[in-house]
Amino acid sequence: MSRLFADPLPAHMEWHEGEPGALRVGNRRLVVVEVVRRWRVDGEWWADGIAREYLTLRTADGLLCDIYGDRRRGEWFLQRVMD
Amino acid sequence: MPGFVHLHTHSCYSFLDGASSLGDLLDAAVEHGQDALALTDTSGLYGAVRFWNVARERGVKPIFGAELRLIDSDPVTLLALDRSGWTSLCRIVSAAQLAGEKTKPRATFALVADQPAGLIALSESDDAETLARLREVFGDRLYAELVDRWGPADIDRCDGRAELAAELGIATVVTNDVRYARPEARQLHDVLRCIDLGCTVDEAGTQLAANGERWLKSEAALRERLGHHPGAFANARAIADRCDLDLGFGYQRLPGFPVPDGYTPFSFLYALCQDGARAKYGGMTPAVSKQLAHELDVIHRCGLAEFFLINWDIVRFCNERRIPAQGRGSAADSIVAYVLDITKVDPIAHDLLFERFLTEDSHTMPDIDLDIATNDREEVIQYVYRKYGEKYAAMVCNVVTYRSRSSSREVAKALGFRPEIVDRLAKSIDAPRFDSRLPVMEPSGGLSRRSLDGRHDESVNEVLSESRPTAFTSESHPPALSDLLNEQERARWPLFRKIVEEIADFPRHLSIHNGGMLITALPLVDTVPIERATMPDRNVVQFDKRDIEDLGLIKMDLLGLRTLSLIKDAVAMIDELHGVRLDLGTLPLEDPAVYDLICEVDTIGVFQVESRAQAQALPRVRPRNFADIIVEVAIIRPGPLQGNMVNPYIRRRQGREPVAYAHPLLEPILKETLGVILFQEQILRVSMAIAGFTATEADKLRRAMSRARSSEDMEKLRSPFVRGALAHGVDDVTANTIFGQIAAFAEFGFCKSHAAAFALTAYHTAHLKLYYPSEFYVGLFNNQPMGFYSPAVIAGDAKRHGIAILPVDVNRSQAKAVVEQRAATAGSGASSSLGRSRASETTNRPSGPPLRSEDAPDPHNRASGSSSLDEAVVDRSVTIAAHRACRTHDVRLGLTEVKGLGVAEAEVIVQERERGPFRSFDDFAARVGMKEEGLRNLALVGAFDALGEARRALLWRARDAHRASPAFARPVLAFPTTAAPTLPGLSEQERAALDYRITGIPTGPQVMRFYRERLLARDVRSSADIQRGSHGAVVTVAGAMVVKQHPETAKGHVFLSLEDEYGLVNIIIRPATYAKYKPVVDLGGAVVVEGTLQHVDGVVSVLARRLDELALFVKLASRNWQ
Repeated sequence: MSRLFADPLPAHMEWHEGEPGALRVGNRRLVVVEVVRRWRVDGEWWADGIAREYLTLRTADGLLCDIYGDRRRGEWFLQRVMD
Repeated sequence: MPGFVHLHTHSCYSFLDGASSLGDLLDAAVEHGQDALALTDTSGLYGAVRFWNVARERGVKPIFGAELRLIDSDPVTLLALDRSGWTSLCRIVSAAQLAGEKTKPRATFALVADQPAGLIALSESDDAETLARLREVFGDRLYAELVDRWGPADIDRCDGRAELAAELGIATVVTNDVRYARPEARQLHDVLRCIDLGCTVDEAGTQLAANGERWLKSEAALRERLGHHPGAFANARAIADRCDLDLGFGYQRLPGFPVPDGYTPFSFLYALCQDGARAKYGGMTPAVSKQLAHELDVIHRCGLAEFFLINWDIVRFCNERRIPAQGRGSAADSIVAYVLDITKVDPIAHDLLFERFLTEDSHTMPDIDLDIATNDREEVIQYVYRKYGEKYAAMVCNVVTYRSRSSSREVAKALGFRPEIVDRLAKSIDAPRFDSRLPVMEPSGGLSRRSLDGRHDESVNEVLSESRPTAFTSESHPPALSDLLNEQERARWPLFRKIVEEIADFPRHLSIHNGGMLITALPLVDTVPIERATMPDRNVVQFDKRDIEDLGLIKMDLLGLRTLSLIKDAVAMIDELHGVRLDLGTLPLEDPAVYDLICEVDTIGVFQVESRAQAQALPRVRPRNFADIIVEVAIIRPGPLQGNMVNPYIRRRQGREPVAYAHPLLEPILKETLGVILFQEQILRVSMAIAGFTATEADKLRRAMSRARSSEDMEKLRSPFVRGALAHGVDDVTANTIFGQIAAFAEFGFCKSHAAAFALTAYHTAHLKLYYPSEFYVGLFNNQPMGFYSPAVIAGDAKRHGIAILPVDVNRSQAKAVVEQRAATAGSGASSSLGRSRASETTNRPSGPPLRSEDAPDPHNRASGSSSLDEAVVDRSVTIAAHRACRTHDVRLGLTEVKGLGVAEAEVIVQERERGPFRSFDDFAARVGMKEEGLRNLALVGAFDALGEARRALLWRARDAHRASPAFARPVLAFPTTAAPTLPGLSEQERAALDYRITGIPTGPQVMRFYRERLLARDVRSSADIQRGSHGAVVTVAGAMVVKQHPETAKGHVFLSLEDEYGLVNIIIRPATYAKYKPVVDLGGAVVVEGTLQHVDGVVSVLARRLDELALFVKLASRNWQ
């Protein structure tokens, strides 16, 4: 099962020694056990522009989460959850 | 320790799929400490030679390759290991290009598999079968490419591919499939992709890359994510080390030239020269014999006999076919070229210097540019193909690069600007090159122009709002561009500016070079890549002229020169009409009447001396002999003008400044140019006389000076010169002064031999205009586009020489213009026209008889030419009037001048007429299959006037009439044409408007004639009045803007040539005035100019201070020159 949030959920990243340690979304805290992949999306520079650093994280409770950091705003968002 | 090397790199030579220049890519490699770089553009080796040069300059090892997109398999990137690999690359690229259409090559797996020798292959395929097939072809020269584009699955894919490769026994290599040197160029790459895809950035969607990671990264940046494949990094290095290819092909320079038995190429050349010298000089003089021996000796030592024989053979072919052909450029310095009849100017008589053309240790091939009559050039090219074979000869390409107008248009389109804005933008740009002339968006939203020093001039908007001119007519002033932009366009304006500047000089596409032909000793495709040209069945080399020179290959320049076609046509007409067989080659060059004509500046249409700048210089220089014409041709060029050589020469010529020499040794060298250095040959002679240089050293100095880019470069050349001068007893100060003089000139100079070759053609055309003006004008009309002026201006000039421009007539016109004998009958349109003209000539201020309102058919169809308004058809010249061979010849326009009529249609009309003249419009329509547009246009320009049918009525009947023609597909609908109701005739103004619209050539009055009365009422002068005005007077003058010039050398000044019914007026617009009135000038058409009259040395101009639009009833196009 996979759930894609049309409006990505604001998230807070906790870092441990420069690597993602945990993700806080609303009241929930997801402990990160592995960064599965990273990728970048940069586009629409002619308009408002998108500059995102994507991560796929594996959490301690077995979820895979696609999250992205908006490089301009310095904020993180949860976009997709797969179990 | 040398490390990683990028082996998959696209440059701007991937045409719209690479966003960095070769220099930028190499600079980025150097910054990352990478000591080699591969260039792998798509389907071509376009940038290879330049890459070879630029890489060596930067100390980077160049590796040559290409990416092939296969129609039946995954793409493959090929790298040449050595010369055999280069041959394979050329063969594969050429075969793929020739198998497809232009810009759409068709490469297959089989094609690549057929030529694997000396090639390394890189593949990003994940298909085991594909990789296995490639391995069969390339063995251990195949590498699986690991590319991380920072996509979601890229690392997984690379890992998977590495695993698959390991299973198949294939090595891996890291690349980044580079599209640009630095991350910033990603925006440009996206825009280029949109231009290629024909969409806007908003529409492109997933067709654009998801991010901007395809730049030339450092090894460390790549290792961050692919570091777990260390072998793939090591392999990149190993491949770079294996590739070892130098592109110098000098060893295979010349194809053989067949010579008769018993001769070597040199002995054959020797014999030809002896014969030629006797023919040209009527025997051997000591001077001829000495110079010939010297040149032949150098040619022999350089092994260039075959090169001269190839050129001799081409000219021999031209002579056989009576095709005018002549060498230009420095070749005219050579007596060997002259006696072989390659060049036409005697180098002994004109004191030309062979060493400017060829010195013994010159490492490049000498250059012989042959001008050939344009209409016959193809025949000559076909001869060369036949002689050397299609496998050994091909045309050289011309890389068409983005200029500011083309890039503005395409970038604006890709950024989603609306079509009307795109058009307006492109039109408002003056300069073809990119500089600060691009409009800048001001914070206020206004557009301004940035001056060259980076300061911002006043906003154009502000200026316009302050001084929006009170329109002369009711036309409103054009709105500023900034007022027209919508919100999105305004927001994207900075991006537009940035990208237009970045795209500067990027290659856009290939075209065939105008004449460059490569002839190779080895089969072409083994040496160079070729592809299809736009012209059917014509192939073109992917290298341009400079590339071919750098490779040391031989190229012939077979250039089309329309003036030579004009000459050929006029000479044939003169033979036919006057029974005079003109041999221009033997024409003495001392005819005072020719020089009178040139001094009168009666030079419209005369080769090289017709331009506005020439018209300004001729009355000052007043050429009186052939040497003067050579000077005139040489000095009115951007270089000498910029180098400030022209004014000192003119001052000395006029006796306003004493002729002085910095050292007595200079006198014999510079005497002919009054002590001013005007020719490149003089640099060589000065260096030889003052610094004791050999000819080779002197030519090296000239080349080095012309290439010096900085004052430091120039200083390095100074000391050997000064040292040599001191040794020759020249003092230090004088030596430095002389060095300064030649250095100032070297950058811009022109070689005398080239000027002499052009001066000869100038003389020949002046001779034709002087004695046979009708034939000359016909030649001009029939070889358009050529020269400085439009056909409309040429028509005006003809009328001012008493030659009527007769309208197209279905019973009289040929396909092209012809000379027509004027009917001798008293009282005919012609004679009455001349009578009226002479009468009005004395007044020069026409009282303006009433406009005629009816068509007035006359049996000779001279209606338009003999209009009641047209007092201009009279010979107002002095010299031509006194010398012309014939006063009863006019020009009848050809059928092909009519819009909508091609050569084929025109020939059908002429052929059909051979069965008997057309009796009526219906008769014509029934006998000639013609589309409605052609019929309508013929009717509208008066082609049926002589048949007594009114034009407006014919227009009514044209729709029915074309159905009666044999070409109409449904004869069942072919009813007789219906009679038109009674319609008003055309006014003279309407007829003029139709001429301008349909042929572009007014047969009646020039457009300004229709405004003359109103202009006189406002005290606006004519061009004739201006000639009589006094210096410093404030005048107002009006005319059609026929030429607009914005020369880079003129420090922002703009020059307009305004035409009225009496001739041309020169307008000078200062930069500040231009900034104010640019929108008026941009509109084209006509203007009313208020300014100060300048009368200097017989040159008349108006220094503009105000320009107003004059709205015309016709649309006119100006010729714009930079």
